[in-house]
Amino acid sequence: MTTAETQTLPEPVADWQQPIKASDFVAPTTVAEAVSAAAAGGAGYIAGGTHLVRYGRFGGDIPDVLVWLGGVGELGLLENDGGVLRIGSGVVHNRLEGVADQVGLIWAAAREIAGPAVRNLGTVGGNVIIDWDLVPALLASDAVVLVTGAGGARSIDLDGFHDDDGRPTVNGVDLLTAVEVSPSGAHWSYRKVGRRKGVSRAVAGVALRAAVGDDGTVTDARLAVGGSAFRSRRVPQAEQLVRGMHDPSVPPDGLGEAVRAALDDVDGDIEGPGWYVRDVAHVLAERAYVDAFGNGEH
Amino acid sequence: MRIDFELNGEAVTVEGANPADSLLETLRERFGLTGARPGCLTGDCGCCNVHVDGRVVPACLMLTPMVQGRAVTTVEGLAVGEELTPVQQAFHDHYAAQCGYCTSGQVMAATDLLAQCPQPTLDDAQRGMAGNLCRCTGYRKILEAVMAASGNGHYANEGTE
Repeated sequence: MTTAETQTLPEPVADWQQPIKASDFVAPTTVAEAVSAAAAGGAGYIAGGTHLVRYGRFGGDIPDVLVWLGGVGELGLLENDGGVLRIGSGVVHNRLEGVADQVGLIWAAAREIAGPAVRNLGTVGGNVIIDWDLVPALLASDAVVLVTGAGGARSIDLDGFHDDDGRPTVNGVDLLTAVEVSPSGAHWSYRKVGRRKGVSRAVAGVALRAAVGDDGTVTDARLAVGGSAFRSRRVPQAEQLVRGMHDPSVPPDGLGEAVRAALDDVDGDIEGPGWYVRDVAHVLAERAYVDAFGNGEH
Repeated sequence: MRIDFELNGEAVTVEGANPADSLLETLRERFGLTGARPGCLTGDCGCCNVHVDGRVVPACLMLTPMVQGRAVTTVEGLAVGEELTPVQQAFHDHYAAQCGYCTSGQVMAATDLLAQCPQPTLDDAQRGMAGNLCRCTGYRKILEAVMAASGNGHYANEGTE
């Protein structure tokens, strides 16, 4: 057996490469243990750490006591319960490929997140907490978030889980344990534009899911948009335009404009200014419609 | 704190680590395994790729305690003695490195890709290698090496017109 002795680590080479420190690392094995550990002063959850560690490197505060969720087995469950897919918050993005036949829309969004290595570490729960690129696909899948806190377990519609600034409306002890979603069905599409083809946050990402009746008319629709500069949101006006449509090759009049209008409050960020975000979302919404119903590409 | 794990097939222990020390720091500074390299330290460049329980992960974002009881493989642990793996041999044969800084991360990503998808299309290869940045090669030779290692070495004839 080899033992590595403590050595002095080198100084960071740039301002943004801040070393991160914590005083303790706790590895609970059950949800109850995790919630109890998080209730201690200075404690906070870490799952894959793909956001939290980056955040700390850029100078953000990280919990002094890290409550690691990787050892809580029930957070890694993927199970179909009467047609509803329950995705444990600890499921890493790449595992969603295994249920792509049930939730193709969600896998389509997950496979565009970061890069292959990060997708083996980053979790669905973490992505939901920070309102990242998976959320539009989850919103379009009628996602319900399951949370366990000091007062017990409860469920919260994902549409309403984040405040206007994109922060979760739960406290630091509440543990997101799973997300329950509806199957994607046959008609769905996810379209995303980022600054790079890979390893880029969405400037805008649009998720569309629709139900079609026997006569080929759209009976119901969900359309959600998300991006780095704004809170992910459904667009009811766009959904209403899609309902009742019969022609799969031409988007309904006003679809892009409805999505554009829903982003009227977006100022933009380093990924792109507000006008660019709206332009991109407009185009992606129309492409998503054609892809969901037309040429079979998603 | 004490962390016990398997490193390139050998049982190892880390003692006295800060709980927030990254796996990358531990591998380089405590074990002298410098194949995994710091590039961005934010999971964007792929230079720090290692395998944990057989899957590629960014060592810069993984904290050392997370590998308790798990198996870690670095690029130093791929070859068996002097015999390079098919991926390593293909990178050599196709001149898929210039400065070499990103190469170990590229090799770890390519090894994972071909384990998951033994017969990738060029699109599969590009997706599988999308987490690795290279400032030198322009990526063509890297993709040639990946396709050659898969036995599906037709990249030279695809999309060149």
